[in-house]
Parts: sequence; structure tokens; C-alpha cells
Amino acid sequence: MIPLHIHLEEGFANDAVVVRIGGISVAERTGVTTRTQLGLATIVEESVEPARVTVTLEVPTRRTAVEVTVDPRETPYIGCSLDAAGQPSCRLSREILGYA
Amino acid sequence: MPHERTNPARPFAEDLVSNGLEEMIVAIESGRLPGQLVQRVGLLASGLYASTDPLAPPSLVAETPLSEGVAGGWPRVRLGDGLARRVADPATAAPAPSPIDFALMREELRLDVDGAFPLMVASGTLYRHLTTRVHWIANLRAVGPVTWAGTIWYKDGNAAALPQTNVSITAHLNAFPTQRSATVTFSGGGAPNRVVVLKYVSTTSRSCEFEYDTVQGTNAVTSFNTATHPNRPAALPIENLTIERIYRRAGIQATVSPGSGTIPIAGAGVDLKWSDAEMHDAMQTAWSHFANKPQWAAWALFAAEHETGPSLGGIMFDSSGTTQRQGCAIFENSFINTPPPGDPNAAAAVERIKFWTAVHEIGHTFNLAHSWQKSLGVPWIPLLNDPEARSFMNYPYRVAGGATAFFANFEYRFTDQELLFLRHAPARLVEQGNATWFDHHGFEQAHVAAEPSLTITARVNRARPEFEFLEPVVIELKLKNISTEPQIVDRNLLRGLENLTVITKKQGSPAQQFAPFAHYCYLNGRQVLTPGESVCQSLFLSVGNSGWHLAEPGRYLVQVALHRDSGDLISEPLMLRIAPPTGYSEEYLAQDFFTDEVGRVLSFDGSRTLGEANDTLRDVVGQLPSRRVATHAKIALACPESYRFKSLSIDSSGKKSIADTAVQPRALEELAVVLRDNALEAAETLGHVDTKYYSDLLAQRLADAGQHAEAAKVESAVLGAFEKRKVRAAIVSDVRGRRDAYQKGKSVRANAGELESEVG
Repeated sequence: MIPLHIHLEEGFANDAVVVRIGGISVAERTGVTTRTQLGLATIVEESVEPARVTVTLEVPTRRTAVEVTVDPRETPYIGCSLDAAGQPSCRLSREILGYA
Repeated sequence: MPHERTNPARPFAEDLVSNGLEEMIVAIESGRLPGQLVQRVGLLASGLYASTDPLAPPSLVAETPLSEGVAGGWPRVRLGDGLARRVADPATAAPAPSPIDFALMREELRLDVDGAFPLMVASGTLYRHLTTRVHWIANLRAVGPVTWAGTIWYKDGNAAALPQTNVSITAHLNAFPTQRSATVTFSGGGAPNRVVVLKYVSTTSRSCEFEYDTVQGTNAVTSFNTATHPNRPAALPIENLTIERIYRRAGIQATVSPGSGTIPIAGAGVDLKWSDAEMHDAMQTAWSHFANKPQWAAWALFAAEHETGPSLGGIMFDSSGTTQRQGCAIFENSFINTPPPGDPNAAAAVERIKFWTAVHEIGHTFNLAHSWQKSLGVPWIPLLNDPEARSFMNYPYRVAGGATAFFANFEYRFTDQELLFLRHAPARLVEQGNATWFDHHGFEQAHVAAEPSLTITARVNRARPEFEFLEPVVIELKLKNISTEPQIVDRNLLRGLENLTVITKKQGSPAQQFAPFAHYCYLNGRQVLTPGESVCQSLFLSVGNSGWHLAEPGRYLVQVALHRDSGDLISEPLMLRIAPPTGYSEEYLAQDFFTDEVGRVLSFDGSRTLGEANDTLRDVVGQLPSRRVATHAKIALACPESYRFKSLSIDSSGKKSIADTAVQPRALEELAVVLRDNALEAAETLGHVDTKYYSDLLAQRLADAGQHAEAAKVESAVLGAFEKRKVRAAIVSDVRGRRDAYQKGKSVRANAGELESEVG
């Protein structure tokens, strides 16, 4: 098993969020809010098999979701944001996602 | 100290500053260097000027040039300094200050025309009495060797205290700082000229003290030598930068607190990781100058790790409570301790990012947002995101090309937009512990037309801008041609909100930017506004995509910016008040009323599918029939049944179909009860624009059903209400024409969504 880091970044404002990996809910959070001085709301970390997995981010409070397929051996960091219209998007990173 | 002159064209004094020799300038100003050297160096005009004594009035030279005097002249008075001033004609000018006014007057000028990163901007603050304050900002152009002039594009506070619109500044340079001054002339705006002489105070606009406390066993990085890493701009001066020097160049006279030192590890708790609460406690304990009040001071903690983990390189942790932005922290055991893969000088790269992080976090304490967040939150005037900015407030690893590309062009500075904020924004927005984090975080050089031909007004159609509890707030936006020439405007300029930024701010709370539920895309069209003509549009402001902005009882400020290619138009602030609930029923209903669904039903004039919201509105009508919210509820409930309403349905097999429902005559009558039988009340709460919109629509639907006489009655009732409320003649005439047409059995199309035009 290897870690997969899902960072909920920009645009969250008291949102409910469900993170699924391979269709299984691994995290359900409410009141998710971006700390604007970081551009980060919260981090979800899960151990997964070293193989491609599908990660789904559902945001019921915006009635929207996004799905991304990643290989955690290549890009163990996923940054998910909501744009001004509340639409989610994700970026993948090989290196740690940093905030300051 | 290594020193290379990189730009021979630069004035020597400026070069001195940019190469880190501000201390020499300070020495010159304090008289520690001989006059000959002063001549060689040249003097900078930029800096802070003020009335010499905090409670002393500025020296007034003359309020109006003799050439602008009125026939017969204005009466003269003598001031204590022997200088004459003219008293303005009371019929045309703002009230002239009395001697008592002067005794309570204080004035500052921040001149920004040379030195490090000059913006060619001046700003000032005028304090009169103990409560009146106006803050202004102007863009400048050089009109002489030591004279600059420009238009005032921003005023904050009591704008009436400074009616003038232009400023001209002449600096009187002198080797002896105490002999320096600036003559400032305010003109325009239909007011007499106002001329003041202010004494030179310092080279920087503001002062701030930083205290660096380092957790035992951790290293604080507060300086960086630009020579140590090869990836840098070719023209970057080689110098030893400190955090204080960076901020001095940004206009802040930064000093280090003598209380800086080492704090024991015990404060970090058993796991040695820091939570925000632990840091806040540490700030109160370890910061030698901690005070729970606004002050120009910031505390920086250099620690090992935040409880979030290595993803957090630093944080401005002080973002709750009423006194925020006082403390920040930098974490050594985080991603900033890892050099980029393959970096040619890994150790220097780590030192560089740690230095960047420290300056960045302190930047947050000054209320600076990240470069890509400039448009978020509540910039008082709209800002553009700048995700590629080479600024201390941008993440180096987020730009295209990553940190390598960032540092190849990074000049160890803030952007001009950020410098404008640090140097010239009203102090309360910048000072630590004052405005809350992200409240007015940005501050843009608004592109305000020098002599605007149009004005925008936000208003409400009622004697006092007060709203009942639960009553939706509808404001009207009015765009008026104030020039003497016809103006061509986009027909949809006020309609789609694409060109508008609307800010609401509850007293004591952060401002919010209004975001409507829907965005509309309109075909471009042009419209001519003759001189004096205006167009109006209503704006349902209570609720939008980001929730209910105007719901809780209290006082609110609303301000609107309209963006045009030729310049931005900013409305005067509109102050509103929402009254408290009058009884238990209102408080109880509020729990169901202030929901997203009810907001959508009200915004979209009804729904046939949002059943719970409709039930709530029926409760409102049943329990609060005499309250104004009932008018809005009745319209939202009746509208979808007053025309053939299309509904999309999906059956069990997934087949989609669209069906429409028949018009319910009952719904037309319910609307008529609101708009015909209670037209005055409707006009009061819906506003004139929306009352006309709904009544025209209802009349058209009645006529479509063959009820022309009923349609005429609706228009007749609205006509009576509008006449009684003294609505503009053009609107009244239009309503009268519709009534007459219906009385003759003719049909008239409602101008659904069209702007109402008025003259006067």
C-alpha cells in the first residue's frame, strides 16, 4: 500500500465533500472551507494499492462531482479546487503540494 | 558587501536605494552626512509629509486663486500664521472650515514618485474634528522638475470633506530634512482650490516593527544574499537582502524588535508540532509587544512543523476573532526544506525559499492575498488574478515552468498592485490587527475615467433605505449621461452583471461580492443616451450563489462598480438597514425562509418543482399577510401559473419529455391583487422597475386571455401609484400609453427585461 494525498484547495466555502476511491467512500466531510491565506481547506490521505485508481470528489452542496484516474506511484498528490462557478477540477503532482 | 551598478541610466540616489544603501539616505536625512555629499547623491521627493504637529493644522496658503475669485471678492479672514485665505462662496462650495476646524485638523501626504519601484501615485489622509476622515489617492504625471499633478481616483471616508478631484504637488527639496516640505493644491469638483503646505516626515509611508522569535533548535532565515544562487535575473543587484529591507522598499519603514529571541520548545506541546491555537498562545506569551489591538507590528515564529504536516511551509495563523493578522509562522521541517530536484545549488535554493516564505507570511499580516486570489473574497474594487506574477505573494512552484522559471525573473519585490496597497491603501485595511483577514485584501488602481461622462447610482425607491425583516432587498441601478454630448452605451450594460461588481458589507462583518444565481449572455447592442438621460435596472440583491447576503438585521453598505473600456464607474455607497423581526412568527419562519431554494424561487420569479420553498412562501403569505415579504411571496407563487409553464419530466424508463401546463386564471387574479389592488405597496417594496415589469407582463397575459379591460385596470392602478410617487415623466407616459391601448382593445408587448429609460 502507498499513500495517496488528496488536497482540497481553492473555492470551498462551508461545503460538504465526499471522496471516493474506486467507488468506495473514504472520507465524508462537512463544513469544508478554504483557508484563503493558504489556498487549502483540508487534506485527505489514504493508503491505496500501487496501481491506477479512480478518485471521485463529490460536492453535494454544489451538486457537482469530478472524477480523475491516477497512478499513485507516479502522482501521489491530487489538488482539487472549485472555480468561481462551483465547478471542480483536479491537478496531479509528482511532488508534494506546498502551501504558505 | 558586493556592489554592482546594473543600470547606469538610473539616478544615483535611486540606485543607492535599490542596492541596499537606504541607511545612507537615512544618515543624510538625519544630518549625519555633509551637505556636499547630499548634493552629489541628490534628494528623493518621495516620502511621508504631514502637518508638523499631530493636532496642528496644515499651513493654508490660499483656498482659491485670485483669478478664480467671484465678482466683488469673497470675505477674507486672517489666520494665525499671517497667511490669508479666502472663504468660499457658500452657495457653491463645501462649508469653509472654521478656526475650530483647523484646530482639530491633521493632514498627511504620501508622495511616491521616485526611489524604489515608484508608482507615480500620491495619497493622503485628511482628519477633521475627531471623527471626520477622508483618504484619497491620485495618479500623477510630472509637470515640472519637482512638481507632479493628477486626478484623484479614490476616496474613502467622508468624501464631502474633500470635494476636489485633482491634485498638484510641488516638493521643496532641501539638504536639511526639517526644511523640506510639499505644497499640495487640490482643485476641481466644483469646489474652490485648496492649498496646503505639509512638512517632510520620512522616506517611507508607514512604519512597522517585526519581532522574530525562533523555537529552540530551529533556524530563522531572515536574510538572503542574491549572489548565492545562479538562477536569477541578469540585472538583479548582488546584495544582502533582509526582510526589513524588502519592506522598506515597499514603503514600510520596517524595524526589528529588540525583543526578538529564542523561545523554549515546551510551548509546542508533546508532539512538537504546532497547532494554530498553540501558536496564538505563543504569540501572546512570547511577543514582547503583543497587544490585542491594531498596531503596526507583526510577530513571526520560526518553528519546526505545523500539525498539518510537511505540506505547510508557513501560515498567517491569526485569522479568527476581531483582532487578526498579527502573527505568522515559518516551518523548517516542511516542503521548503527540500530543494527542487536537480537544483544547481540546493543549499541556496532552500535558503531562498525560506526567505521567500518569511517575507510572504509577513505579507499576509499586511492583508496581502495570494497572486491568484486577487479577485476572490472582498477586494473593495475589483482586482484581476495574476497567477504568473513574480511576487513575494505568489507561489514560485505554481507558475508555468515552476520555481526555476519563477526565480529566473524574480526581482525580490511585490507587484505594483501590492505596492499600491501597502503604500497607499487606507491604513485600517493594511495595519495588523485592524481590518479582518481578506476583508478589503486587495486594492486596485481602478481605471476610473478622469472626467467621466456617465455616473452609476445604486438606490432604493423609498424615503428611507430601511427594509423589514424577511423583506427581499431590491435595489435599482441607474446609469446616467452627465456629459453634454450623447453617449453610446452597451444596451445590456446593467443587465447581465458581467460588467458589474456588487459589494455588500454588513457593519462589523467582512464584505462580500454578490454573485447572482444565473449569468445571461446577451447579444451586443448599442444604445444612445442623450445628455441627462439615464437607464435603470433592478437588482435582486438579497441572495445569490454565495448565499443570503442581506438577511440578518443590521446596517449594510452596498457599492457597485461598472467596468467599461473607457474606465470604471464607482457608485457612491448605499447604506441600508434591515429591521429586526417583529415577532416570534418571523423568527420561526426565517429558519425555512433563508434557504437556497427559497432564494432561487424568489430570484427566478417562481418554480413549479421546488415544493418545499413554495410551501414556505405559502406560510409567509398565510402568517404574515401584511408584511412586505408577502408581496414577493405572492408574486413568486403566482407567476409560474400565470403562463404556460414548461416542465421537463423523465419517466421510469429514462425517457425525457417536456410538457407545459395551462394558465391558471386564479394566478392572474392573485397577481392582480398585488399589482392592481395594492399598487402603491408593490411599488414600495418591489421598486419601480420591477413593479412596471410585473404589471406590464400581467397586463399582457390578461390581454392574451382576451381580458383587455382587466389589463387596462392593472396599468391604470400602476399609473396612479407612479404618479403619486412622482416617478419620472417618461415612465408615467409609457404606462399611460399602455393603459390607453388596452382600453381600446389593443395589445401591447411587455418590455420584458428591457431597460427603462428616463430623462432628467
